[in-house]
Amino acid sequence: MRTFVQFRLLGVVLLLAAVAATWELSHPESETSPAARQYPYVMRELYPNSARILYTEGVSLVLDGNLPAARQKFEAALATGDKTI
Amino acid sequence: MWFIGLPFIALAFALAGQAWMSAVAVASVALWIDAPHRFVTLVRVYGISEDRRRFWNQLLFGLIAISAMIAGGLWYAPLTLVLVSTMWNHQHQLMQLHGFARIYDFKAKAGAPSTGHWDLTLAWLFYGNLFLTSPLFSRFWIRELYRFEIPITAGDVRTIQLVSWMIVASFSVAYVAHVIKSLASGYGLNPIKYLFLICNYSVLYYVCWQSSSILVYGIANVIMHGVQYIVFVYLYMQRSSERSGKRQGVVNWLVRPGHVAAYLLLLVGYSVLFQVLAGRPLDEFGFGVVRLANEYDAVPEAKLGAMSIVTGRELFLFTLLNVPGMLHVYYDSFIWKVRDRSGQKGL
Repeated sequence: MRTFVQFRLLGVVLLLAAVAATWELSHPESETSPAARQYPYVMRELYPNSARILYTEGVSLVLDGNLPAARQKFEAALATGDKTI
Repeated sequence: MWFIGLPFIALAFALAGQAWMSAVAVASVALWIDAPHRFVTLVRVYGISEDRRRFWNQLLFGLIAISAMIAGGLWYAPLTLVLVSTMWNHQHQLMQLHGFARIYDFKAKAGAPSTGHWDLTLAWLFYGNLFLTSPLFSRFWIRELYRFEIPITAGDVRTIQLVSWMIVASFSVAYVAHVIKSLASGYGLNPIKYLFLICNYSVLYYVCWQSSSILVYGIANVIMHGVQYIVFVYLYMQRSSERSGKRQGVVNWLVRPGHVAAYLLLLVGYSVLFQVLAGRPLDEFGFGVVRLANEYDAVPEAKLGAMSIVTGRELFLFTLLNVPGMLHVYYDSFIWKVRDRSGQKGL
């Protein structure tokens, strides 16, 4: 019992890691699956004014060649004051 | 008061960083505080012989198991390693807050026998709610759900967040009822504990809501958690040393009155070693103000590239060796005057 109490946290962590690693190894394409591609759209719906979303939209507009609109997005992203590495 | 005021100092520093510093400030705070705060755990468990004997099995088995997990994770499942380390860090953070709250009750001999369980549930719910509902953290778990092929919609996220708030609100009411019942049963109440919890969670909730920037959270959280821990471990080791009455050993020497500077120097030394071994530039210590690697831009006309990180680190090490020597150079310019009569006697 004492050994179980001593090692239960480590046991839980290792068990979770084993489950997650098994998933990762058996689903190597999960990062690029069609479902995963929906993630940015969900985040945009939830947090439309976050710097990260505005910046992503700006990049998308640059790729579309719409530079004035892209500039607006980048300026809005900067206006949030967020900084990242 | 130190532990209650610290979250606000951390917040002020984080907001100053947001306003006036570059994102390098996060790395600087990590180097000055986060890395040393991890190191002091090792100083305590390996430095105090009583602790070393008491926890030996866990220390050894933990070292082997975690090293194996990191090696395996890096090699086979890096995303799992990121997930596990992030989640474990969150659990560690909430348990530290809970632990400090318990210390306030123990010292004041306050709270009913069941208050520990109530406090632990409160910590899990407050921190869990922060994790589920704040813009900063929800990004992480929503993304992980998508990776696990659970295509959650924005509506689902809002429902989860609403349920989370409702659970927190309901439990808070029950918690207040528990406190009133404890008081009525004759158990004491330590208001400082609640002030500590309110201050810490207020700052955490504020930084996770006011900005989706990792900079503000990174700085505030590292200062709150890390400084709290470094100070706490020092005081703990000092009391252990006084209680044991031992004079020998590194830890007993470090915690003697007047040796705080040595303790701090040891921590900074660890950070420097950590940074060098990680192959990272030492100018990250400088909060983005010292940027040796950026001092030399590319010169396309001469086909010269900008200074690399490696060259920047070499320049920093070179500077570190030479700058203290400036005092030696200056002193030598006047203490070794051959024409000085008093100097001539010694010569």
